[in-house]
Amino acid sequence: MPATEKNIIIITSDGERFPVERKVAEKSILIKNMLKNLLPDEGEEDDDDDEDPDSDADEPIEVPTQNVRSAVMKNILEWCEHYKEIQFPDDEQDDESKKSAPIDPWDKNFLNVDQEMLYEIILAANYLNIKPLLNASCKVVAEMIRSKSPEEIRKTFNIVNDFTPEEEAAIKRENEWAEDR
Amino acid sequence: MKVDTLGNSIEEEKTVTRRPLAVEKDQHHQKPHALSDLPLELLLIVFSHLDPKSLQTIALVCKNWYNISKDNSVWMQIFRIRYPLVPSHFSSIARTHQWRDELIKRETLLKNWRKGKGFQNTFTLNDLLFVSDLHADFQNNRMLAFDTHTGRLLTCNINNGSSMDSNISSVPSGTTSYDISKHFIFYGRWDGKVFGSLINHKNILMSGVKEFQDPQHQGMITSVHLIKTDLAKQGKMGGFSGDQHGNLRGWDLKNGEKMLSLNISSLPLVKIESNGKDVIVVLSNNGDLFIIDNVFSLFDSSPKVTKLYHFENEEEDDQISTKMIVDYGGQKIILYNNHKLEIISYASDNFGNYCTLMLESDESIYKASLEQNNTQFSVQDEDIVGGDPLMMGVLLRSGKVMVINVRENVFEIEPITSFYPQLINDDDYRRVITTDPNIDLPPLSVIAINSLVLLVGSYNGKAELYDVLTGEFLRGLTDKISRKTLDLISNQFLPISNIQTEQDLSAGVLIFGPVVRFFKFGDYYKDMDKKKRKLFVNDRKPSSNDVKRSLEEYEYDNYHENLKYEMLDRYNGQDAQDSDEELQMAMALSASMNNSSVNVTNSSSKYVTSHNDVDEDLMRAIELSKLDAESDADLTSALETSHIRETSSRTSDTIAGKVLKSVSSDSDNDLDEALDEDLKRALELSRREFNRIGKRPAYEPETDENANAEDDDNDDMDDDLRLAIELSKQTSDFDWQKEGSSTMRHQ
Repeated sequence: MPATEKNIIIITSDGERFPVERKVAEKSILIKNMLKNLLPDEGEEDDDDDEDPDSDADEPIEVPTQNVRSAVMKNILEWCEHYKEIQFPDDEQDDESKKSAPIDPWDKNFLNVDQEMLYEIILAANYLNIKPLLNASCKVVAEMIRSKSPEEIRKTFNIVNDFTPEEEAAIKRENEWAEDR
Repeated sequence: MKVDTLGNSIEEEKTVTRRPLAVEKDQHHQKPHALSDLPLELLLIVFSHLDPKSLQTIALVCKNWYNISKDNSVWMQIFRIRYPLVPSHFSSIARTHQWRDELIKRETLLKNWRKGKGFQNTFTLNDLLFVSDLHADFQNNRMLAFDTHTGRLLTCNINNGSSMDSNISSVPSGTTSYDISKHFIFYGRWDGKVFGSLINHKNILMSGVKEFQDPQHQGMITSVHLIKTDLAKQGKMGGFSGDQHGNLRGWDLKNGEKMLSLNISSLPLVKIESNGKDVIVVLSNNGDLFIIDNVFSLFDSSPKVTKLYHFENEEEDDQISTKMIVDYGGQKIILYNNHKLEIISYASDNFGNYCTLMLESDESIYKASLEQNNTQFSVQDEDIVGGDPLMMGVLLRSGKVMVINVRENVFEIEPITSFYPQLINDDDYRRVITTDPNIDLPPLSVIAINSLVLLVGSYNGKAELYDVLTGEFLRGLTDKISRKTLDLISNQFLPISNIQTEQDLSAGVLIFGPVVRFFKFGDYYKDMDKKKRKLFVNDRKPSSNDVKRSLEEYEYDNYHENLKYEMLDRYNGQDAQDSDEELQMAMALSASMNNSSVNVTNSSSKYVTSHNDVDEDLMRAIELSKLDAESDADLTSALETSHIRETSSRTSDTIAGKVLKSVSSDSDNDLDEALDEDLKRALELSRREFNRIGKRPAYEPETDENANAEDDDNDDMDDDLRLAIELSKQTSDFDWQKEGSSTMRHQ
């Protein structure tokens, strides 16, 4: 269908090109704002496809994203594609209810990647300004911390315990004190 | 990962071995990035999704995370991410400078209030027909309830109302004003005499009502006030009385000596408030507001009286319906009546500045209540997270609720939140007001707030909880009312008169008529205790873990069980260690009773012998009280308080005569017609109550023995009587809103 024209080309740091629909690309507020600046007219009449082919269909817009490599971008775009029909509220005020909400099962499955990838998705979601993805991925990390002992957390994140036993005991005492209050 | 709250180790192992996807990572990076390498801002977002317990744990992971966990500004950001709706000024729950402590405590408590397993118990109190005053002590699981009708004072278990001690304070006849604190009851009378009675800490051991010996006031006592925080030591002022000629007295409650005598105004003093530390605030009948300082200093006590403000009451000539609340910590005085609310500062750099709460023209204020956490008394500390404001809940007659910060320095007060609780559409309420168009009841009868939650109550025990800062609905509070209780209140529509809460224990009590409902959500201290143990046990092997935990749990329960028995023993005076002390106290008190309260001892001995004359006396009493009613009407309307009605209906004709004389000579108040009618109705009912009493000599005039007599006769009290008293109570309860007279203390 002409409506799904992939006229935005996202170029990753390692030079790979990803042609996507505008709708998908605009899940990233960074790209959305960039496009708004590049094509001021288009921003207004997003849904009117009559104008699209005339002005820009022939020359797709290239959007470089220096900080994201292709493997990560593939994942990010998969996420954007999945949610392309969903309008996320721009308003931060609505955030609170979602804060405590459990992770969406699809997101959970989607984010079931190794730590390296999760790390890069978080960085990319932050850079590209995709709030729902950033929150979901941070939630996944929080989930990995939750209800674990310090030792288990260290194991999970490959963190070296740089405390001396004395320091550790002191912090435990500190926590105890804080809880009593 | 499926079970996130329990998070046992098997689940955790899975998360470590995730499916490898990043194939080309070696080409680009020498060393794979771990999630712990995330920049601080992103790590913060991650941490903001954690629960309080995990937030505690992360400090133990490594030095970097420990430093994050120590950084106050980091925790502030986490707090802000977590509570985007909390305004910049909010009441700290932990009263701390540390955002971390605040966040952890808020999280834990909010969870309890919101989702904690509820425990509710609805009960009636032994011997109490109406709870006029209530002091709930949640920490010690007790409460003190006072019934002005009967003078009965009860200490009981707050969970179930089982009586710990019950006693009668004989309300002096002709009492025109009274106040009660945890430690003392204070009465002021029409003839200028002041009476007081000590309430003991452990069980109530009344020393009997004692008349204060020093020179009396020259006119009727129009207001009394007790310092609520603690019972003042001997040599310090603990209570105040004001009379109709504008004289103020300060009293040492321990020995009944006068410590302060000042003429403030030529008009009656209608409100007195003090924290017993640095200031006394007095409102006179024309709306002049006075600040008295330099009174509590031991070395330089030359009282300085300053007129701070004039509170205009456009509707009425007097200030009887005006209510006064003082925020000692923020040095603000809140004055309000039906039509407006003003906050006046008495801080030296802001002296006399005031701000106003603007209302829509068709709205009127019904009730207002400060945060129930005593921040009222502590000096404002702006370094406390949230800036240490003081919140006040304002309930409008329409049922609309507003939360305002009384410490804000603005000209016009903007509510932090305002909303209509769902309860205003309650079916029962709608049914009652539609069946009888003459009934003019507001949809909500009471408001109470603490740093976390706002509670509104309507009728027959229905209440709701809201987030105090956002107005978000948290939960409803309803419970079945037993058949017996329903019979007692005879299916009436009783407003909730009082709600008290303890935010740390997520518990509270509410009162409607003679019925008390205790509620509690979760157990903060117990939770904290368990959490602490878990945290330390976690590092051990799981097998020994379980055994040790259950052992600890057993020990913990055992310890608390023991503690409970120990406390019970102590309250019942059976504790061996304390028995000597108890005995001494009892003897001392009974001695002082013999000496000081002639009335009581005389009458009680007389009562033993005069049981047979009771019927005759009662008949006379009824006659007299009928006569009385007329004079009462004058007296009561001339004065302010509704409890006058309750007490003065017991006065003998001679006293009533004097009262009448003194009233007509001393004050020439105009009688409000509508008000008069209400009073008459109330009196009519109370007269009916006397007629129904039958054999009960409770309202015999001339002596104070009514109270003592009642003690014995209480079992004979029939349902008719309860009903009658309840009715009269209800009337006197409702008419104050109409006539706008003050029953703040009463409520």
